[in-house]
Amino acid sequence: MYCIASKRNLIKLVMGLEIITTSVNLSFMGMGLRENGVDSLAQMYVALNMAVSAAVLALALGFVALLYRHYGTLDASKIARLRW
Amino acid sequence: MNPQSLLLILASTGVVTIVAGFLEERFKHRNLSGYLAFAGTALAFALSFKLEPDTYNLARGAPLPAAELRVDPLSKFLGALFLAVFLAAIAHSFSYMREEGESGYYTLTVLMASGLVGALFSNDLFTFFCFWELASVSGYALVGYRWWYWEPAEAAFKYLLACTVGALTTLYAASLLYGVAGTTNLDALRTALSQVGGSRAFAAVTALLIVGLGTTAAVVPFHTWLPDAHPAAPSPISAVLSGVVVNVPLYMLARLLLTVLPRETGVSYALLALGSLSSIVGNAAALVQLDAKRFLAYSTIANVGYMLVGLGACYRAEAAGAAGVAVDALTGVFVQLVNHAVSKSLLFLCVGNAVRETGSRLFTSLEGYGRRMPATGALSLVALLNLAGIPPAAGYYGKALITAGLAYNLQDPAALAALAALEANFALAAGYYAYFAFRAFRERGRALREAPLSMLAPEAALAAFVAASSVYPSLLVEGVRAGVKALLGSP
Repeated sequence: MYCIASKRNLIKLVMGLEIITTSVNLSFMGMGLRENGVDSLAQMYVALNMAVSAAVLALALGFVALLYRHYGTLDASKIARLRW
Repeated sequence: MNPQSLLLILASTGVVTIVAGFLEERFKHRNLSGYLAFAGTALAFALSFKLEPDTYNLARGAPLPAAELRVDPLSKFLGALFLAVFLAAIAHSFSYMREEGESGYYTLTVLMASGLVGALFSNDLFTFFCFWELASVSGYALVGYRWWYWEPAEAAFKYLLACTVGALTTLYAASLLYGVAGTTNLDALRTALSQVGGSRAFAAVTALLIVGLGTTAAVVPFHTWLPDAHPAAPSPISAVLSGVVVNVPLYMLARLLLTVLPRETGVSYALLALGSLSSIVGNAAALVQLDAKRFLAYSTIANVGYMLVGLGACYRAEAAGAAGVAVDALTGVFVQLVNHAVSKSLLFLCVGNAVRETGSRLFTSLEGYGRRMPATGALSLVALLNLAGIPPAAGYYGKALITAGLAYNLQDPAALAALAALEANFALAAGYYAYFAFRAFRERGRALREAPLSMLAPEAALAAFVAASSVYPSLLVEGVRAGVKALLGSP
């Protein structure tokens, strides 16, 4: 969350997104912890969430590449022509 | 008829349109994939009337864990409505996207439809998340569809960042609920949580859910993606984004707060405050816009605000034990949702006609389009009347019911303030819709050609729905009320 709020580099923003995804996965794992390993339901959640986040990540990096082409920079504060 | 088959039809339509894309290149036929997408969605729309209210598992043979779908009268009605909006948008795209509409466009649109319908019917938080991400990923790609311009690329990235964080916040709340109850199934959660009873920890979960779903529904402090994404997307997609996408998380929020989670006293205040803030900020920001589609996007935020206020009113009435008032308020929310979905998408499509003719979204160049393009103008007027909620129009009933739900007990200063803000916003919105109509019908601007029939026909179908629900409002209101009663489990 801190990463999303404070970083200016678009790639770092995408990395922040990934950290949040990982933390959610970790939370599922922690919640699914039983005496003899992790609950199968939690494992399924995590596996599916990884697949979903891979799709989102691919698209996000695609947009970052496009933005770099349009603006010639990865600085989020310079890519702010849309206001209001 | 079961919802799995419905989703299967939509998903296979998506695959078929990809194949059709190759054929298109081969045979130089423009809209083949579009027609196929239309046919598949039309089939799903027709079959959605035959859905039987029940719970279903996503897998047919061996039931999958955490993959349950549930059809109730309300979600069945909303599903049919959302598919109708998609049908209109796809039909409108035949001409609107003639130059740019490759098969990928229709594939993404159909996938978005299947994701949204799946999210609407899902009876499990994780299923909801998966379908929601399917819809969102298609949505991001569609907003950024015209990637060779700078604006869609920037808007789509912003949309992606905000909504993914929103969806992950929802999922984090789901993981906490899973930790407490060992399941994410909504029915099982309700039973498990009622045994655990209320505790302060649920306040955090509720807050996370309101923030997460509120981000995807564009509630004000988290709304910043919406006014960028709507104008940057092609007009039929703006119609779908405004008419369907913001409504699905609202429906889910209503279900979670009212039927699953234990009651918290602060929630109704949070909903009233966020709703009032959304309607105030949405309406105020709409006033200063120079871009017609951005103006409509801000008015969507205001409408989400009204629905959230209605939800808060319902929550409050239920907590006070006034079940009848709660049903009224929630009926108001969903009548408003239906009216807003239909008339805002109609208006986006109409403005799309004019934008396609003038090549600009600015009010100054759109001025007078209602006069130069009389059919488009007349259809926009229907949408504007309904959005403003001028009494014969069905839009009035949703607003009246929300007001009634809020006004039944005004001892509470918060409710009084929310009511005052709501009424002021209704008046303000009616005022700027009138101003929009005034500018659209002004005697000015250059000569414009009327839009082709393939663009007017889907708009006329949406307008016919508005007209029918205005002539027989009781049909709409009572239908929604029956669904709401089933949802709340009240007699």
